[in-house]
Amino acid sequence: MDWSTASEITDAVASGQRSAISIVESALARIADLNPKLNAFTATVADQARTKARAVDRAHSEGQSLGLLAGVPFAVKNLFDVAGLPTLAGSKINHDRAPAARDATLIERLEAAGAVLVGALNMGEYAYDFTGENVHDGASRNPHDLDCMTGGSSGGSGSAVAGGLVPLALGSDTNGSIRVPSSFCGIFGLKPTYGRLSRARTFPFVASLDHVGPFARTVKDLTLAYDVMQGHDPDDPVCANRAAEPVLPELARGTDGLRIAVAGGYFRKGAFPEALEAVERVARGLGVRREIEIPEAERARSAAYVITATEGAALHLDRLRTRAKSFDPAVRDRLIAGAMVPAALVVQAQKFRRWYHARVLELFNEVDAILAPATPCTAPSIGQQTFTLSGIELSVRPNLGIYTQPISFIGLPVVAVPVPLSPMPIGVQIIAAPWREDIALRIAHALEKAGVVCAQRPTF
Amino acid sequence: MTRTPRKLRSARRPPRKTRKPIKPPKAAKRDPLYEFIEAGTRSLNIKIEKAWLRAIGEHLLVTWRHGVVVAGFPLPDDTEPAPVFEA
Repeated sequence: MDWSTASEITDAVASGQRSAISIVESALARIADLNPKLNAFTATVADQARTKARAVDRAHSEGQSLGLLAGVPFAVKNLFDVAGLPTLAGSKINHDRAPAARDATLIERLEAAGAVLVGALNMGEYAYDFTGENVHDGASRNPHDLDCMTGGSSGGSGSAVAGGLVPLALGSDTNGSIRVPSSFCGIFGLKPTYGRLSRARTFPFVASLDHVGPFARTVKDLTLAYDVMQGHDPDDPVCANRAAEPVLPELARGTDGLRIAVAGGYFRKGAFPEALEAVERVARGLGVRREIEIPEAERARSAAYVITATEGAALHLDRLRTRAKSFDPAVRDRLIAGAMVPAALVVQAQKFRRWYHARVLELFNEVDAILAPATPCTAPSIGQQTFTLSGIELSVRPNLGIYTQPISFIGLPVVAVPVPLSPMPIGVQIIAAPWREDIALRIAHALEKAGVVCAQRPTF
Repeated sequence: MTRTPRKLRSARRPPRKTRKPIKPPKAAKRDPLYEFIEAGTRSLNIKIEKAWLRAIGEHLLVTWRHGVVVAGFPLPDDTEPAPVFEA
């Protein structure tokens, strides 16, 4: 297993120690060797990757300046358009789609920085999933315990990065689909502010909640990827018209002067002891004692639940009419139920969202960042159907995101940081005000430097 | 002797007086939730199988419960839904 970080790879390519093609060949060999265990990849694009790697080497030999991610192999959740592949979005139905004609914007931006796409990654069907299981392609496997869930829906992204197949991957997060796999797989994940990164040429799920973002094994790599992907994109109507605000130069500023609090109330209710211990370790590492209550967080989760069910149903209505039997039954039945929720409740949920957004923004007058568990527990076993939260037995699938949903509901930026508990890691959310990814990344970097959080190398 | 065809004999047989008139089957008591789902999916032109009803019903109840939680929160009439469309 190659545990090199993206920044180490770039340095090696820029200094001439290694060629991009040798790095990409190693990554492809690793994928061929380890993917049968992890089931992280659903496709590789070996020929295209070799062509792009050789182009990086040629640019280097001609003395051209290399991008910030020169020679770094990366992969994307298979809801990103990859030219030449049908965009599966974890489904059987989308196998019938024509191959994408052009890469997603974020792939183009990473490749413009010298990174090399090597393949597409497993995911929960149509992103309606927190487990990383997929009835069509099989479950992606957690490198820390192959019998455990990766979390989802970006399960392949979590597995590929935590398993050392690639140092960098992209995923999407509607209700927690970057943060949940980051937590279970013990890696870093960034869900940026809603509208920060372009979703152009990705398969949607819930348009008013969909975000895209990177996974990595270090905060520096996460930041490098984030920086090169920023910027307005007219192909995504939600993408904000803001100039790029690079964070890498800010990382070393540390946490001096930052006001940080732990989320209490709802974010302590139902958490397993390991989730609370992880938050406690992070808070202790930052010297944080203050607790703050995010008002009506539980109701916010309910509103996100309603909007997700109904917008998701609207998106898939025609496929439910014509191809219902081709869905994963667990997804199909939720979508059909979502199609029958009264519109009045949906509008009320969107109105509540406005109210809740204003109240939570007021909190950021008092604090710069809020800490909360990413998941209520460490990774459950693959196939596990229920768990007990606050004394109530609940389905695992929709409830792994109870702490992530109230945050993405209003589009706040979050870095999920991995706390290396034994036997399984678990994540903590560092939540910042809109457009302040820099603050969350600075805090994550400080915690990493202090050794409080890290992506541990698995043995599988 | 000519034999009467079996079919003809049978057709001539008078109805048995002892046979009870056939009653229409009693309408089975239907779960109103399932009736709602069947009506709803019919109106949306989604064909479902009976075996799916239970799971759909469970999901529908959970989603409704979340909806009721949201609807139970008083908001001013002039609260704009999010996101706001910009012309």
